Amino acid sequence: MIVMASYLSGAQALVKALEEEKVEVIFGIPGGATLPFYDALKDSNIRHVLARHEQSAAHMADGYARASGKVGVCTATSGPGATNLLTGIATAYLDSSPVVALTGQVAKSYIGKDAFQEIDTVGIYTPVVKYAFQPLSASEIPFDVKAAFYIASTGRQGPVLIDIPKDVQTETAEIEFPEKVEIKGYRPYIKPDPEAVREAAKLIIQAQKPVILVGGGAVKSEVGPLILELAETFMIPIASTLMGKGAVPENHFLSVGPIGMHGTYHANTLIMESDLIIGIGVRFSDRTTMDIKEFTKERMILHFDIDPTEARKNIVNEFPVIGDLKESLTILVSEIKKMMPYMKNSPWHKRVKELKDYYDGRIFGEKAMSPLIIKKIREILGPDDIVTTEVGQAQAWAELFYKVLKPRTFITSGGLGTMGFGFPAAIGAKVAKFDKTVVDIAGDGSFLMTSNSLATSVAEGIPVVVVILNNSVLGMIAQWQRIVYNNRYIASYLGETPNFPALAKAYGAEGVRVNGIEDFVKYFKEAVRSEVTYVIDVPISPEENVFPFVPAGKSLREMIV
Amino acid sequence: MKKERVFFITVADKPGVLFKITNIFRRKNFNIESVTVGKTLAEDESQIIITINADEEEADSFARMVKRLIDVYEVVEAPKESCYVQELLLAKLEGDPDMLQKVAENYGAQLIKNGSLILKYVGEPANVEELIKELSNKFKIIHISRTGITAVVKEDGKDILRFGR
Repeated sequence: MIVMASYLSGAQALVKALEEEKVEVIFGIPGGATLPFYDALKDSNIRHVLARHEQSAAHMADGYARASGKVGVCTATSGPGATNLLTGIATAYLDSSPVVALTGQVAKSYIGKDAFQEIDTVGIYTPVVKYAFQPLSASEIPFDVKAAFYIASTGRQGPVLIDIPKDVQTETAEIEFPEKVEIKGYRPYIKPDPEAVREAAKLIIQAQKPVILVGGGAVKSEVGPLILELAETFMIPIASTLMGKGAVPENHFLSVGPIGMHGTYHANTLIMESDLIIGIGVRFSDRTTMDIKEFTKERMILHFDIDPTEARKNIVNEFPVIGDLKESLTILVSEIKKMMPYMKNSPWHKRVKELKDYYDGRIFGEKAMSPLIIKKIREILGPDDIVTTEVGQAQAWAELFYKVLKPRTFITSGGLGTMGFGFPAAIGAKVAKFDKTVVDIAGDGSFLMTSNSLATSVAEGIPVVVVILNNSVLGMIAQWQRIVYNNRYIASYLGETPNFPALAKAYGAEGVRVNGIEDFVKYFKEAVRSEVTYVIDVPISPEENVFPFVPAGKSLREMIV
Repeated sequence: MKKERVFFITVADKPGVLFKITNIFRRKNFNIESVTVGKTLAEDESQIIITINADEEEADSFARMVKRLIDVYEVVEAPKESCYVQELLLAKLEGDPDMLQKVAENYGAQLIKNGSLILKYVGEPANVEELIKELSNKFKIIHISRTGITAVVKEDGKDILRFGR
C-alpha cells in the first residue's frame, strides 16, 4: 500500500523514509558522496552525532541498538568512509545487532572507473551484512529503507547496508512511500514444531544433571522470565555465554555465570559434569565450548534458536528446536510443568550449590587488582546502569566479575572481538539511555584505538565514564606470551604513554589517575555524579593475569587458575 | 563421504545473487566444479545448479548457509548419482567432414556446417570427456565450449536435502 507520493530528491526521500522509521539519531561523518543527504538532513529533526572516525560511528550505532533494542543508524561517505565503517558493521554482524549503514557512492556513471573515493562497497560488505541494497533511482529509496529496517530488526537480527550513488541522491522524482514491504524469500518468523519441543521436554525430564546455557539470542528476545521459570521448576543451574550475560539476573540463586575461555570456575566445571546442556539462543562458538569434542562427549545437547543455519552447525549430533524463542520456551515450560519437578535436594542441585558457594566471585591469582575494581563498579552502579567493555583482559575481567542484573545492560564485542568497541558503544548507549550511567571498562591498548571519540563525547554533550585498567601492555597478548609462549614477550609492551588524564583534559573531559581501591571508589562515585565525560586511569600490574583461563585447544575442564 | 554433489538453488533473478552464493563456497575454499544458471517458470526467479565435491556434513552446512541468503528461495542438494545429469558440448573443428559425420553419428551428436564445422553433443559428462578425447585424436579442435552440467533429481534419488518453501 502506498501512503503518500511527493516530488522529492533522492536525499529528501531518504531523510523522509528514515523519519517514517522513527529514527531519532544518526551517527556519522559526512563526505563528498553524502553531501546531498546531509543537506536534506539539515531540514529534519533527526539528531546527527558527529563521530571522529567512521569505525566509531558504526560502534555508536551498534551500542545504541544494543542498549535500546531499536535499530541503530550510521553513515559514511564512499571509499575510505565505507572501508572505515566496515569494522563496525562486521562487529554488529557477528553479534547479530540491528544496524542500518548508509553509505554514499560515486555517481552511477563513475562506478567501476576507479573514480575518486570509489570502492565496491556492496562487494566488500556482502559477507558481513544480512542484506545490501544499492538503489539506482531515487524512487527505489523508500522501499529499500523500509526493507532495510525490517530485515535488520527481525528474525536473527543484523546489519543492513544501503549504498546510494550521489546522483541518485540528487535526482528528483515523484516518490511513493510504501507502508509495508514484503520481501520474497525472507520469512523471519519461524513457528517452532510443538512435537520437537515436547521431545525436548522429555529429554529435560530424563536428565539427571542438566545445565541451561543462555546466549545473546536470549537477551534480544527477552525470554529471561521464561528461562527462570524453567530453571526454578527443576532447579537447573543457568550458565551463559559472554553474549548471554544479563538474559537472567546473575545474582539469581541458580545463576552460575559465564562458561568459556574465561568462564567462572564453577560454571565450566558444572557444564563438563552435566549430562544435558539446554542451549537457548546460543551458537556454541569456539570461545564458549573450547575443545568441542570434549564439550559434546557424554552429554546431550538441546539447542533452541531462531536461525535454522545454527542447527547442527557446530555440534553435529545435537537436538535442535528451531523457532521463535518466546514461543518455544512457552510451550516447553507448560509441558515441563505437567511433569514431576525435581527435588530441591537432588544430588545435582547439591553439587551446584556446593560449587557455587565456594567459587562464586572467587578471585584467583595474587596481584589481582582488576577484579576488585570491577566488583566496586558493580556495587556502585544501579541495576539499570550500563557497562560496555573493550576487548582483551579488561573484557574478560568484566565477564567474570561484573554481575549483570538486567538484559541490555552489558554491551561487549563477543563475536568479532573488536578492540576500540567499548568507548564509542558507550556513547551510543548513553544516547539511547541518557538518564543512565554508562561505563566503559577499558584497557589502555583498546581505549587508544578509538580514544578520539572523546571529542564526540565532549562536543555533543554525551558524558560517559571510562575506567582504564592500565597495565601499560596489550594485556591479553602479554598473558599468552607469559603462559603459552614461555615469557617470550614481543610487541606487547605499550609503555607509560599517553598520560590518559592529560589526554582526557586535552579534549575537555575530566581525567584522573587513581591510587588504590579507596581512591578509585572516591573518583568513580564523582564520575558517576559528574555531567562530563570522565576518564579514570587505574594503574595495575603488567603481570596481572585473568584467571580462570582455558588455553586454546583445551577443554573447559583444563582451567589455569 | 566425499563425492560429487549437486545443489539446485532457486533464487531471485537479480544482480549480485550468484556472487553471494559462490562467495560462500569460496569462503570454505571449495572449488566449484560446474555452475549453470537458467530461468525457471516463475518470471522473477532463476535456478543455479552448482556441483562441488564434498562430504555429507559439508553439503548440509553449505545448503544451510546458502538458504540463509535472503535472495535464495529454495535449496535442494543431492548426490550426483541421485540425479539425471546432462551437459552440452559445442566443438569447433577442422578436418574431414565425412569422417566427422561418422563420429557424430556414433555418439548421437549433430554436425552443424555454417562456415565452420561445429559438433553439438548432449550427454553425460563422462561421455562428453570421451568424445573430446576422440575428437582431439582425429581432428584439429579450434575451440570447445561446455555448459557445465544441468540436472534434475531422480524420482527414486536418495539422500536428498531440501531447505525452504
